[in-house]
Formats: sequence, C-alpha cells, structure tokens
Amino acid sequence: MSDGQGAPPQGRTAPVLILCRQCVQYVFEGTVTCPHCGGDAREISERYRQGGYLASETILRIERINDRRRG
Amino acid sequence: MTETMQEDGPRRRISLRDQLDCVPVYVVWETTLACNLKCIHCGSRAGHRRTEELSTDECIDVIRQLAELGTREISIIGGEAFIRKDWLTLVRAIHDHGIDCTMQTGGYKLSRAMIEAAAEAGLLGLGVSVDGLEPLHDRLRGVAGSYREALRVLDDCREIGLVASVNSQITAAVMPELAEVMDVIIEAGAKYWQIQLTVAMGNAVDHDDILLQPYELTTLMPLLADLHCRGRERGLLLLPGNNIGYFGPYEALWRGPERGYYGGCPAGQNAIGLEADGTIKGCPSLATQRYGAGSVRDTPIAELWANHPALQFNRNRGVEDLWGFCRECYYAEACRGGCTWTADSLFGRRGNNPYCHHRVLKLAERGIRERIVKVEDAPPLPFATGRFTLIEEPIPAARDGA
Repeated sequence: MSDGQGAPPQGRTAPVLILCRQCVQYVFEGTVTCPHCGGDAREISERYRQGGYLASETILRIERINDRRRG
Repeated sequence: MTETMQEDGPRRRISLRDQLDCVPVYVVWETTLACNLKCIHCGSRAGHRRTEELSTDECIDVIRQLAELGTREISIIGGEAFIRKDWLTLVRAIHDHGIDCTMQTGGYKLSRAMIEAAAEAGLLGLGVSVDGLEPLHDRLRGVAGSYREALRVLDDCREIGLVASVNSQITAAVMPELAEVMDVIIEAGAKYWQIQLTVAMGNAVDHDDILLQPYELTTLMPLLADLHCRGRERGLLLLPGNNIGYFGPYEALWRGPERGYYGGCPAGQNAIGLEADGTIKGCPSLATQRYGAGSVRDTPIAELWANHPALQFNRNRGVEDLWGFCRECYYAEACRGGCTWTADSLFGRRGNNPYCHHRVLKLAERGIRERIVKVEDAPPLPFATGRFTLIEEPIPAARDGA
C-alpha cells in the first residue's frame, strides 16, 4: 500500500433477492404477492419442491448467514 | 479482444465482504494488443501492438501490486496474449503470487507445446473462442482455418489435462447453429461454455449487421435455456456472460440459486481491466475515453483504485443514473442497468440496457419491441464507440405460416 490512497474504498452490496416459490422468478426479500405471477411468493409450490429449489434455498440461506458473520 | 469472464470457481465468487471492501477479485489484462486474427466484432480493434506496452518488469510489478490488493484471478487476454515473448514468464509470476491465472485465446497458432508449457508454468484454464460453425467462425474471425485451430486447441487441452472452456459471441448469424456448435465443443472436450452478446464497440460498429437486435432475445433466451439443460446432461455447463440477462424466467436456471442471481455490474468494485500500455479501467471492455483511470506506469494501483473517479462509479451506485426503461424497472436497484459496457457502448451513457430479457418480455406484453439503429460510426481506435438510437415499435403481426 502506498501513500496518498485516502480512505479505504467502500462499496454497496446488492439487495437480497429470493425466488418466488410459485413461479421461480426472483423477487425482493420480504415480498408476499409475486409481481410476476400474482401468487403468494412464500407458499411452496410443487414445481418449487420438485425442482430442488427448496434444498438450494436452504443452502443459500446458510451461506448468507455465514457471509454476514464473516462480514 | 477476447471475451472475458470465465466460469465461476469458488475463488471467483464474490462475497459480501469483497463487495463492501471493494476487493478487486478479478482482473482481466490485455497484455498486448497484437493479434493474429482479424475479428470483425473485435471491440479493441486488436492487430498491432500498442506503442508503449508494459515491459516484463513493469508487468511483474503490476502482479505484485494486485496480489497486495487481494486479487484472486487474473485472466490474460489480447489481442492474443501468447504473442508476447514473455507470456510464460507472466503466467508463472501470476501463479507464484498465489493468483489463479487463466487465459483467453482465439487459439490460432497456439501449439500443443505452448499449451503444455503454459500448464507447467501454472496456467489454470484456457478459454477458447468459438463463434459458430466453420464458415461463420472463420468469417467472423477473419482468418481461414481459425475454426479448426480452435478445436485443435480444445483437443490438445483435453489430452494435456488442462481445463478448457469455450467462449462464444452471440451474433445475429449464430443463433440457428448454436445447437450444432454445442455438439462440436462437447465432442472437443469443453466443460464450460460462456455465452456473451456481441457488443457495439470497435469493429462491431463497422459491421453492425452482425449485432443481435434486442427483440431477438425472445428467440435467443429460450434457446439458451434449452441448451443449458441439454448441455448439463452431457457434462457441459453453459454459463451466461455479464451481458446475458436479466432476471427473466431463466435466471434461476443458469445463475442460481447455487451461483447466485445477477448482482449488478462489478466493474470497478470487484473487477479491474488493464490495457497493455498500463491504462486501468473498471472492466477491460469499457470505452477507454470515458472509463480510463490513468496508467499503472505512473501511479500505484492502490492509489488509483482508492481515488480515481473512473473506477468508483459502481461502488455506491443506486438508481439515480438509470434512465429509460431501466429507471422504472422492478429490478432497478438490484440490476442497475446490467452490463455497463453494453449500454454505454450503444448510447455513450450507462444505465439503460435494451438487451434484457425481462425488459423485452415486459415490452412484449404491451405489443412493443425495441430495435437499435446506428447513427454514428466509431473512430478507428481501440475500444471506440459509435452511437446508436433506440427505436420503439409495435411488434409486427405474425404472418400465416411464418
């Protein structure tokens, strides 16, 4: 590191998106009514379960928790 | 110019901490502008070396500085990186600094012995450009025989045991033959296939007939989704480049949840581009005139990285510089207009990107499509842009039997 750098750079993080459990399109975390399909984004659909998205979602949640802990 | 951004290995993955601290995780480095191909879509108009390319010692110092900043992968490109006489020295230096080294190449005249030497020096993976079947590829790359050479390089990599990926430019002409291209590259041993839309920059502005129209994403994206699924069954992972998006019905298929959704352009926040003369940018493909942040020859990289405005535009960016459709988009805050390079090259201004599947589908619901039309040529310089205008028009009614 050299002189003259100033403060260390700081960036923003991308907002958290999750998959709508009905249509499997991304929505912002906390969304209740999906803007894409109009369904309940929290209600687990057969497509969501069968597609393995529930398992992936769980892994992703754990990764986010670990990431925040490290951050 | 060779395509950038390879498969997402674990070290490439950008963490929350990387984003907050603006760690330049990934560097794409044009080590020379000299090239033995004459690609009609080349954004950097590669061919002859730049007048004052960095010396070997200067390059090694750049590698040292990047290692100090936390860079985890450097991808050397050109032009054609292996034309530099010291390219193996640079590969070894990158490796010796604990940084993953990959290389993007057209593969023309890259011999098996050279590939073996690169692997021995620490090259981790090689990305080879294949832009269509033989006639189209050779036409786009401007050299007869370049297609066969690219496939031969893939075959050599397989025999040597070096991870090989394929990069493909999506032009208007390649769509009908993409499925066959996939068959060919699987046969040749590729494990990763990165797709990227050809961007209106440099030579591609001169040959704007090769550019995909935004509305053609309605055909392209389902095709890519189908190829993604079929490729996976055969051991090939199709990966979307930074300008393939965004958030349409296939986002979860190829970006997540395992790989994560599109998190916005990483230029200048977690990515650096270097030109062979030492010019630093947030992304290797951005227009030098608007995004060049000075030279690493004159100023330490850490100082430029911390202070230069041309590297900082993404770091705390919200939606304020978005315009057009992107400004009002549901995903605006997450996407921020997608690939800066794609939008900025078209309009001379970032923040409104017509090459977006979500956008195309939303407009189609209203019976509208968008088309780009060139209104100004690009000057004969590397990374030069022209100017395009965006035409919004009703979707033509499908004719019977069409």
